[in-house]
Parts: sequence; C-alpha cells; structure tokens
Amino acid sequence: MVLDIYIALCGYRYGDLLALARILAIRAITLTATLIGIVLVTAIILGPTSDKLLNAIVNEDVRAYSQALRQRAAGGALNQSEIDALVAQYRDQLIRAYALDRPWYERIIPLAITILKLDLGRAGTITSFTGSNDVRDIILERIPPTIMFLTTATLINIALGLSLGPLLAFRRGGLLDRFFSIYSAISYALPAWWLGLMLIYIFVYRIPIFPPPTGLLSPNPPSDPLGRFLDMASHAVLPIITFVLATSGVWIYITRAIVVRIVEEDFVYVAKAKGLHDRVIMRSYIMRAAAPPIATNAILGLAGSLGGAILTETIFNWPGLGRLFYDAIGAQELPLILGLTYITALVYVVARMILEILYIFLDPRVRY
Amino acid sequence: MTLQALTLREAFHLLWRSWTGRAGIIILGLMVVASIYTLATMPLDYGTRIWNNADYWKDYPKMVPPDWYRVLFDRSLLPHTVMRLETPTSSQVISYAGSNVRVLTYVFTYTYDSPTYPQNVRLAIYGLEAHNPSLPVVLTISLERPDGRIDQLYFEIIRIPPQLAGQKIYIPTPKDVNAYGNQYMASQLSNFYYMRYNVSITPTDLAGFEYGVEKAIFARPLQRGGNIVLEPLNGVYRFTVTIQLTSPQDSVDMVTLAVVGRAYGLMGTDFDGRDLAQALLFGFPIALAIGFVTSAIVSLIGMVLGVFSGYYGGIIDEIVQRTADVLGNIPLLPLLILFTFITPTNLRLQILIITLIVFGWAGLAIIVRSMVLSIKSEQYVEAARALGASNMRIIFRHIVPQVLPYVVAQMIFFVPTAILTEAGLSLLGLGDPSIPTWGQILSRVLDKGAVSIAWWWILPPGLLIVISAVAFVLIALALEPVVDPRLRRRI
Repeated sequence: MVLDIYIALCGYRYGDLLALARILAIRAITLTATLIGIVLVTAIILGPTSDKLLNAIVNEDVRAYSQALRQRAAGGALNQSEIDALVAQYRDQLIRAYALDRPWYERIIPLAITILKLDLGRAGTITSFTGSNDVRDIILERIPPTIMFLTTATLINIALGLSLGPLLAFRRGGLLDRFFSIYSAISYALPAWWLGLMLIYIFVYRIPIFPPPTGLLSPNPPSDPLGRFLDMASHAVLPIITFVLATSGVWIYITRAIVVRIVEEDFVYVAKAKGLHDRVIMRSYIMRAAAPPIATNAILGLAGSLGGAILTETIFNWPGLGRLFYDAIGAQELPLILGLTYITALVYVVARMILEILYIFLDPRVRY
Repeated sequence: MTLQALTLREAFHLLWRSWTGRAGIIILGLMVVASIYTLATMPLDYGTRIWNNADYWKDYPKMVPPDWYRVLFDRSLLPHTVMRLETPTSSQVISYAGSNVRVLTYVFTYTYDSPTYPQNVRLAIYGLEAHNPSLPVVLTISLERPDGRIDQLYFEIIRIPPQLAGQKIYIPTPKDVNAYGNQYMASQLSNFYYMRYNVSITPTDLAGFEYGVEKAIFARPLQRGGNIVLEPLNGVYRFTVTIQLTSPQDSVDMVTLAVVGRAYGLMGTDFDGRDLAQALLFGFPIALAIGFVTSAIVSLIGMVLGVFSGYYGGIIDEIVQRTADVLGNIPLLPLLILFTFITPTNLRLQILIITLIVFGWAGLAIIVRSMVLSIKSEQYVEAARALGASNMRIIFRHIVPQVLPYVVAQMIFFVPTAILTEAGLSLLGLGDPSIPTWGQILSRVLDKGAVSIAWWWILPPGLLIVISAVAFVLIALALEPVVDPRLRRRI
C-alpha cells in the first residue's frame, strides 16, 4: 500500500496534482462542514440548558475574582462597598462576554466557538491525572489511550480481514467459509462490552490469566520502563482480544463479499484464460481492484469501532475517552459530556479524513 | 422468477429453505411467544410497580444463583423458603387490662438441613386491623430449637395511632421483623447460649459481622482454639408468633415467615434481591418493540426519501443526498449519550428511538436512490410515462415494488442495531429505569462491581441480547439471495 502511494506520487504530472489538491480540498470542506454541523447541533440542543452551564462558569469565575479581591482588601486597600462594586462590574463583564444577557438562540455562535475551543470550564468532582479539573485538560489526556487501543485493534482487524477474506472468497461454500459466516453473524450481534464482561469473569476471576481491569497499569506498577511496558501490555491484551473477537467477523465478511464480487468479473476470467499464475491474478487483478472498497469499509468500520470502544473501555476501566464518558455520566458532569461528544466526533472526522486521502491514492477513478 | 412475482409466501419458502433463515425464524417465533406471554401475565407498569419497588423484594435473597444451580451443582446452598399462614394456627379471646382482646398464634415449622446459613429470617405481618387504640398490639416470637427453647426470641409493642383505629394498616407494605442485625434477638440468643452452652458472646458481637443473628438462630456455639465459632445445628425449628390484638373484632390478613436462602428461582437474584427471571422475561417485548418500531420507521423514511430523491432529482435530490452525507459522517453513540443524558429519564427511550431514526435513514436513502435511478431509465417506466401515467402511479406501481424487498431486508438488518444501541446506552446508565431492559440489568452489574461474582447476573441478559440480535442477522443473511436475484441461483 505504501509503495502504491509512492508510485502514485512519482507518476503525477502537474495537472494531476492540481486535480488531486481540488479533491482533497472538497473532502476537507465536507468533513469540516460535518464537524461544524455537529458543534452547531450540539449548541442548539444545549442552547436552552446551556444557561445553567454558563452561569456556573460565570459564578465560579466571579467567586475566584472576589476571593482574590478580598485577599488584597485584607491589606486595607479596598473597603467592602468598593469590593462589591468591582465584583458586580466583573460579573456584568462576564455576562456580556458569554452573551448571557441575550436569549440562547442569539448565543449559538459564541457557544459553538466555546465548544470548538473546548473552553468548557471546570468539572465538579472529576480531575485529570495531574490533578487539574479543567475540562480541556481532563479530556486531552484521555485521547492517547483511546487511540492506542483503537489503532491496535483496528490494525488487527484489517490484517484478519485481508488475510481471511480472499481465502474464504476462493473457497466459498466450503467448511471454513460456513464457519466464518456463522462467526460473522454472531460477531455482528455480539456486543463487545458484554463479551468483555464474560471474558473478565472467566479469565480474570475464575482462571486468573490476566490482571484485574485496573486501567493502564497495576495499582503498584514496576518502575523500570520495560516492566511498565509489560505491565501495560498485559492490561491491554484482554480489551484488544475482546474488541477484535467482537468486531473482526464483520471485517472478514465484508472483505470476503468484496473479493467474491471481483472474482466473478470478466477481467479475472480473461487473466485466467491467459494462463497467469493464481498468485499474480490475486495480487495484480483481484486485490488491486478490491483495495478501494476495502478501504471504504475501513472508513465506515471506524465509525462502528469508535462506539464499541466507548463501551469496551468502560468495561475494562481503560482510561480513554470511553471510560471518561461513563464516569462523567455517573458524576452528572454536563460540560465534560459535551466536550467528550465534540472530541469523539473530532477524532472520528480526522480519522475519516486520513482514510479518505488514502482512498484517493488507492482508487484511480477518484483522481480523474 | 422476477422480483415482482415473488409473493410473501414464496419469500417465506425461500427463507425457510436455508438453515440460517430457518434458525432465525424459529428464534424470532420463540421471542414473539415469550413477548405475548409476558404481556398477558405481567402488568405494563411492572418497572415502577414491582421492579423498582424495594418493598416488594424484601423476602428475596440477595445476589444468589438460580435454584437449579443448587440442585445440580451445589447442594450445600440453603434453599429459599417462604412459609405463609392466612389463618392463625389458634385464636382465642382473653381478658387483658379490663378489656377483651384477641390473641392470634401462628406456628411455623421449619426443617433446617443444610451446611449453610440463611441470609436473613424475616417475619411479615400483612393487613392488620385494630379497633381499640388505647391498647397496644403486642408481638412476640418464641423459638423451639432442637436443643432447647427461647421463650421470647423477639418482643415488640406496636402502638396504633388513634386515627388508624379500625382501618386496615400494613398493606401492601407489611410490618416486618428481620433477624439480620436485630439487637433484641441478639441479646436473647446470647442469653440462651450462655444458659445452654455456658458460652458467652456479647449481643453486640452476636449481631455483628463476625457472627450474625440470622446465623446464630440456626447454630450452636463451639469453643475452638480459644475462639468461639458457630456451627450449623440441623433439625426442626418451630417459630411461634403470637399477636395480641386490641379487641375481639381485630384481624390480621396474613403472616409470612421467610427463611431467606442462598439460591432462588430460575435465574437467581441481583444485588437488591430482585428476581432476574422476571426482568429477563419483561425484556422480550421491550427489545422487540424498540427494534421493530425503530427499524420500521427508519426504513420507511429511508425508502420514501430515497425514492423521491432518485425519481425527481434536482433540488430535492441535492438536499436529500447532502443531508444524508453529513448524517452518515456523524459518529452516533457520543451524540446519543449527549441527547439521552440531557433528557429526563422517563423520556430516554423515546429520545433514543427518535435519534436512531433521525440519523439512521441516510444509508438506506443513498442506496435506494441509486436503485431508483436505474429503474427510472427502464423502458417500461418510460412507456408508462408515455401512456400518461402520473408520477405517483409510476412510483407506486413500478418503483416501490422493486425496491421494497431490499428495504425489508435492510429493515430486518437494522433491528439488532436498535436493540444493541439501547443495551449499550443502558450499560452507561442512560436507560429509562421505569422500563427494565436486558441492558439495564447488565448496567447494575457494573454499578455494583459484581463482575467477579455473579455469572447468573451477567450471562443470561447478554445471551438474550446476542441471541435476539443473531436471529435478525440470520434472517437478513437468508434474505440476501431472496433480495438479490444474482445470488439466488448460487446458494
């Protein structure tokens, strides 16, 4: 695949690159529009309830401000009425800054900008690992674990799909094919989080092969880097196995379906008639044609896996965005949930963008 | 055989011919039967009236496996026993403090034959009616054990407020006496142990975590290496409950004595002692309703918009397809979490269904549109138009019948999506607690951190979710060749 991209880039003429840039720009605009759409929809939905949220932010700021003033006043610089006046002035200023003096529908744009900047104030009880209770800090530090988990699992899924899909397509109707068609049906219907609960019950508590789901690391992790890495890996294995077991069936099935369709195309028969070796047909005729739809599938599959990751992380206490969602719901933290919704959408849209670019290189028809 | 010629009957036969279709239809049939049974036997407000009513579950053991597990695998578990008496064993009128009063005696005989103790012993008195408020109702329990007698295991004076005189009280919530943590019983048992075995355990210790009143009732103390331990004392126990009422007309509806065991029912119980079998049964119609309502509406909207978009083209097409693009780009679960979070709990199910509908139609509309584009250019459609057929006639006579099989297949494929989404949201604590679903049962496992213990609490609800989703996937798989004639000859 990497080689394909390289060759494609080398082979470009100036005009091609212009066309490519245009397509990329269009893709970027669509996805940005989607993202802005999400933020706007969120802002509209939250409009009527956002007063509470913003007022809480204002009150918090005003409280901090008046405390600071009082500390200065202790030196005798200000009297009580001066403090009150300053506080009132500051509150007015904030209310105007957050546009709380206007009805919520006039505030959609400022509200959307607030969401975009993740400027959502402070969480009540949940703090980040470093102790900050700023919503932005809490959310940002949860992204790497989620991406780590999701990327590993998705790569395994893609590998399974690419290795098993064509194999099954060639032996369709056979025993292996039947087995995997059942596996796919169950896999589609099997919620990863429930499978996780079962695997935890069996392989952590009944037959203790894996460590209890305490997050990234054990309660008392080893201090040397290698030990820490092994400890983290041992915690990551079961969630990843769970996730792959619950989602790989669909990947295998779709890859198989795509290859089946291509195997029956005329150009494959022609290639066979020419007496080409099976391996050559597979690589140069079938897989080359199958790559674009498989990539599309990867793009779409990511949407589903993001949802699955939220719930799987929750079960395994994996400190990513998903587990944070669960904790935020439990603690009734609206700003956090709002920020999380936005950030998961962002992660998704960015991932799609990357895959869409990949897609342009894979499918020549998109270029011309 | 063309698609138009495919009747419902033929479609069913084609479905039945493949094993996937047959398996799917059989499971679906069983689910429908379970749903009908549930709707016929359980109240619609089951969730609020029974499931979330803590009083209802007080006689039930907490966190115990199913009874069949006890029978098959672990005979040491104490079976659950509830004894009920609607008429007293004996009833007499005596003279007390210058008035005639009625004394009711209820005798419960229980044969204790197990190496494990009960979780609790609970006496419950239902529907008490007392006419003379100047006298108190006096409740005593005495216990005859295999090794002796405790005359007054429990004693309580119940004062009846004058305004309740002559009315039936303690119904539906009974007056109850629990052995668990009961200080009075603890001191009586402590006394008995001292007299009978010359062993002294303070009442506070006896009621505490180390011993427990519910155990001490059915045990004898043993001196072991300087410590006093309790050992189960199997045999016949006779609980004599006397209720001294305030006048001869007074009455009691029913008295029950529950020896709360360590296994219960078909599916065991959860942390609050609730019978999981009931909630699992109630989950059937809910899951089917969520699945079918959502997928039917989604498919209808997707089909209508797809057909119009493809048939009319132009601005309608542009609007529908661009909207579908944007909706298709949105990851649904985070938005669902946000929407249900800000919704009051009693509307969450509706919000879930509405959101799934609003965001779910896009994929179908895009595919239906492309089907319509090719059908529209067929010669017979052009011919119909040339003959002066109206747009509506062409759509309903020539286009809809051709896309319908595909839409139905997609509808069936969407059912599990709806069921699984509801379960997932419930797991996060975003379900409607007044309607118990399979997902909500699982969500409580997580709340209570019971993953390590209760297999009977994790396995069945998840299995039901999976099986019902699999049924629809199997049917959809079997429908594939029915819908796509190219595949029909192959399989």
